Amino acid sequence: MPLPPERLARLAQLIDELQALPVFSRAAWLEALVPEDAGLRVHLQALLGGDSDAESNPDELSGAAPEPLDTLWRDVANQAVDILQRGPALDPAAGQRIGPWRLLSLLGRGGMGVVWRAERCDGAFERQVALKLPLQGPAPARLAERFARERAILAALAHPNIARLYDAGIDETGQPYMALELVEGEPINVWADRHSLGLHERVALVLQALQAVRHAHKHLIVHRDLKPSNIQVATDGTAHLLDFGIARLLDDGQPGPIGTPDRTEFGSAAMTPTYAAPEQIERRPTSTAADVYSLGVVLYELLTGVSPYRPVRSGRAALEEAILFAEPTPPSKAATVQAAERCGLTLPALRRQLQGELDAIVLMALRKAAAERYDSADSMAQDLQRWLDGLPVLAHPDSAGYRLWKWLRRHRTASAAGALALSAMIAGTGVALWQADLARAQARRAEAAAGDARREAERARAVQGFLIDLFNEAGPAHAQGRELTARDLLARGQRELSSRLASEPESGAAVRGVLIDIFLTLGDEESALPLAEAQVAQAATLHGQGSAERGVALYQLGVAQARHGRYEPALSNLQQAQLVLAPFAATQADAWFNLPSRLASALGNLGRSQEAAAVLTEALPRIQAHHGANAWPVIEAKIQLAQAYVAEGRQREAVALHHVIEPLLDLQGPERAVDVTSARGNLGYALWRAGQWSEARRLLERARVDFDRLESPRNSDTIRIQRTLTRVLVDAGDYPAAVAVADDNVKRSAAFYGPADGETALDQSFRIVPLAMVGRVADAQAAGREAVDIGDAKPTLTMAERRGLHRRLALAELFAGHHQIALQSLNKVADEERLAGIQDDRAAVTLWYLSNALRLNGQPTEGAATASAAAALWRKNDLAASRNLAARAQLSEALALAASRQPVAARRSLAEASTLLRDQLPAGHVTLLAAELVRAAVLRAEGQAAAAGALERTTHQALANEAGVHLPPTLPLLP
Amino acid sequence: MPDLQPAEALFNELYHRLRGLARSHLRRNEPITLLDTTGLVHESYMRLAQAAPVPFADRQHFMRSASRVMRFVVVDFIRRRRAQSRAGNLMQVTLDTDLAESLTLHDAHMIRLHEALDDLARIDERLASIVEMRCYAGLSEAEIAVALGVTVRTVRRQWLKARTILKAAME
Repeated sequence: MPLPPERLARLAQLIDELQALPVFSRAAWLEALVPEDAGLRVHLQALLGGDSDAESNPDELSGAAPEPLDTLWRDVANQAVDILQRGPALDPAAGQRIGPWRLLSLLGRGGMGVVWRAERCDGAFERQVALKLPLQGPAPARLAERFARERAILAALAHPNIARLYDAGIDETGQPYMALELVEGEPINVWADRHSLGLHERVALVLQALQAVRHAHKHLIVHRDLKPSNIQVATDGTAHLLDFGIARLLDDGQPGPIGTPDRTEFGSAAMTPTYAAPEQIERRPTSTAADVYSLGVVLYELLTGVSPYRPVRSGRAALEEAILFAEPTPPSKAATVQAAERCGLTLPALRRQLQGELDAIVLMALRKAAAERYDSADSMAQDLQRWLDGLPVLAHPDSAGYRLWKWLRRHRTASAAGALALSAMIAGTGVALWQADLARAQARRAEAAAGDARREAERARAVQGFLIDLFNEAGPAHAQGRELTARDLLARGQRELSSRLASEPESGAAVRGVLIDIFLTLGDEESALPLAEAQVAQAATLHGQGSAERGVALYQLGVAQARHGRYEPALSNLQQAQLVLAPFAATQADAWFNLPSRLASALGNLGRSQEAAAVLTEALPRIQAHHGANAWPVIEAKIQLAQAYVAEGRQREAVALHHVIEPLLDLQGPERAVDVTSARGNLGYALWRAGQWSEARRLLERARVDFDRLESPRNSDTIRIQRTLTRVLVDAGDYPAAVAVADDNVKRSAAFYGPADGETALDQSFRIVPLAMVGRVADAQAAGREAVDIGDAKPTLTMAERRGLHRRLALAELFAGHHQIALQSLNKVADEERLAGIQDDRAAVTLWYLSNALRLNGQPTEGAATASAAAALWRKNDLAASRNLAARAQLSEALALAASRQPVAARRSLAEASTLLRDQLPAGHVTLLAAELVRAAVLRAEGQAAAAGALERTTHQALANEAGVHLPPTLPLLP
Repeated sequence: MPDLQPAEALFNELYHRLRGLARSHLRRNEPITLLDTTGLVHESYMRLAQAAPVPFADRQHFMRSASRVMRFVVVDFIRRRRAQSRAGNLMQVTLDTDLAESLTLHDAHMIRLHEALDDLARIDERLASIVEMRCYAGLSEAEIAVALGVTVRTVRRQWLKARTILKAAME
């Protein structure tokens, strides 16, 4: 058994003691060891002979027979040599397989690894790729996990100026590989010089790179290793950025596996310090600002022909020091004669052109503090464009006030290790609150007592300190090799909080306020709720019932409860908050102007949409006057209003409002990305309810892609979005597409919630209708049974949800011809719903299915009555979606009437339904086609069997060809 | 840990030169000996000292760093070879299964040693350096004594100590 480290240390001490003894007394000393050390005796025995046995000339590698004691080191030496000798056989060779790729020829070799031209072994992909084989990296297991997470995100990064990542993985030997689009070009600097580009053309080239960077940043992907060799210009003059996100794929805070040198010493060999931003040199968290910096260096070199820093000493340390502390020479002063020649200018002319605006732009990008640079690639691009267009640029020299402003901005965009989401939500909540605190502190300082102001300032400082701590915690020094998630940081924050609350209750409360906001933004109501309750109580104690502090706390509590689905208490707390906060509207602008949206949301969820609309209509002008028309709170309120309109059946107004909102969403910055994406999802839902399926589909498809990028492919938001999307596709009659989305959602649910979770059961059951419609009846049955098996065993589902599982399984059985089973099951669901007094859309669906089951069980008269009841329920809700469903129920009624030999009534029913449907549905909708089958049934009831048969044949054929719908002749349900 | 400021450059240098050396030996079907690696360390020192005199002025420091780098190079080679042999590509090296098996055994041993050296360094940085200088850079006791600024006798005593601890850590 190897000894544990603490025993080894003890052994070292004992060896020191032993070696200090004369040889003759060592044996006795060894015998006399205390019992705790007796176990080490066997190791010490080797030293009994004293130091003399080391004199057997150990420096000789071969020759005299080895002393037994020396075999260890001799082995090591021999083996080291052996290993060194065999090392070179390890270079991959042409023809070798790496994962699914076959190596063709070596493209290049760098500090990071080798790059091969490669192709797919199985020919599944025609193009050749650049296959990167990194030398060192995290342990394969960690890497595999990271690849799985990042690959999808990077692969989706599609932009004409970005080389695509096609594949990334780890082959069976543990060799990581990345397959990238093969760009045949030259590095930007080589290309620019070889073509003797002028200043404008050089700037335009960098502008191309910036467009690509801007696109990636918009998708929250940072490059982190931009340099000329990563910006390749193809023969047509297009710039292509290579290796986007690769740095992050390979980066790792912890020392590598056995045999990998510590990355902090060797691993960053790949990172060229010349282009690295100061925060990268210091290994602090990097953000989009690092890319801005690196492009600044590239631009600097393109314009001047030299690097921004020329340290006196050579070597990496000196360069790093310069990057951290030296001020770069303005380009106009650094430009060389050679650079001027390559631009086709004289040196004085080049300097004149650089001086002023280009100097300012480049130096702005190169500021030491990330916060003082351009706040985005976009603003740098805009400034360069302004320069190209001959307009004045915005870049300006440093100033104290500007720095302060930028400090705030920095916390909006800074991306702590992997926690861009965290910064986004702090931007949305924490900093906003802190800013409000600051503003309040300033406002009060002017009018109120000095003591008051000091207290405010202290509180502001406490929150500020807390936030800074959180970000610092994200640094690699604290990460202990693990990538900290936002939640890890918050857990620390909470621990911190309890100590603060005891010693400084006021600053503790301020910090708790921030924590609540952050938890809410993260969607973690469970954690927010108890904090919010405590906050309300403490605010009352510290500041009084009518205090602004209590008002804000009530507001937060209400929001948390609403998110948790507890709308009644939420509404009451929000209403209280409104009363308490009214006198503080000016100083608590954040809470005050968000209140109406929250109130409306609670009202809407309680079915009081009319009041919700009223609250919003009244509040919107105020919110708009305070924030400006394009501000986020205004957009949020408008989204709420659109939903209230939908619920009220005011479809036209809802759709009109949607057209106002959607363009505003595109204007929001990346820190709003999550909110914007949720908003698209909500709008998509509203548009579905308003019957605008193609618009709804577009929004929802966009939202699911964005959520995947923002939250990693395993997230519940995408599942939620895809549930709505499935229903949109079903209503729109695109069943094949609905099958694909529903299938995908089951996989996601199984991964996110677990394969035997109630949520996964729900998603299984949502497959049933589309599967049945495309003729995959057996699959629909299987899905239905699995869903019911899981769902009945899960107390997590509500009764309504469980009834849904049974309702949909019954439909699958109806399609499979098990009419009796289906009828029993649907009767049971309908009875339960009737007993519970449920009269919503779901009850209507049950009756609709039931009507068909009755008809197919030889009870057509009851079937007709039941269909009519379903239609009546839907008509009560004057939604576009319900209206067309009412019409479809009427089609079922007509079918049942035809089956009960009442052709006249059947024809009348069919005519009414058809008129409604033509009114509601877009031309070519599958239901319009399916109505022909009802007409055939009526014809048959009227005794025109031949005409009916022909019509049936052509209609079934059209359904199959045009919509992929395959119905059994019994027509268990019409699409 | 000694200050390994130039380690990255050194690593790359030694890594590529060792591979080149091994490749040429392999072509001539000769084994590398420790003398080769020692020569390489000395030679690299000369080259690097020429390229950047300031950080490498301290020759003793260099010897310690270089020896450590050699250790990492060795282990890196093992790691890659293991990956390779799992893929069944060992045939480029040998088709002899006995040899292949013994290689894996030795590899495992070397990896254990590598880990044990980390343990040792935590107890006494200098002990680990001595092992690295002897086993990976092939330096003589006298050279090590010079590099550490101690007597040969001390080196010998420390070597015995290091070896005893390593054995205990690896058994």
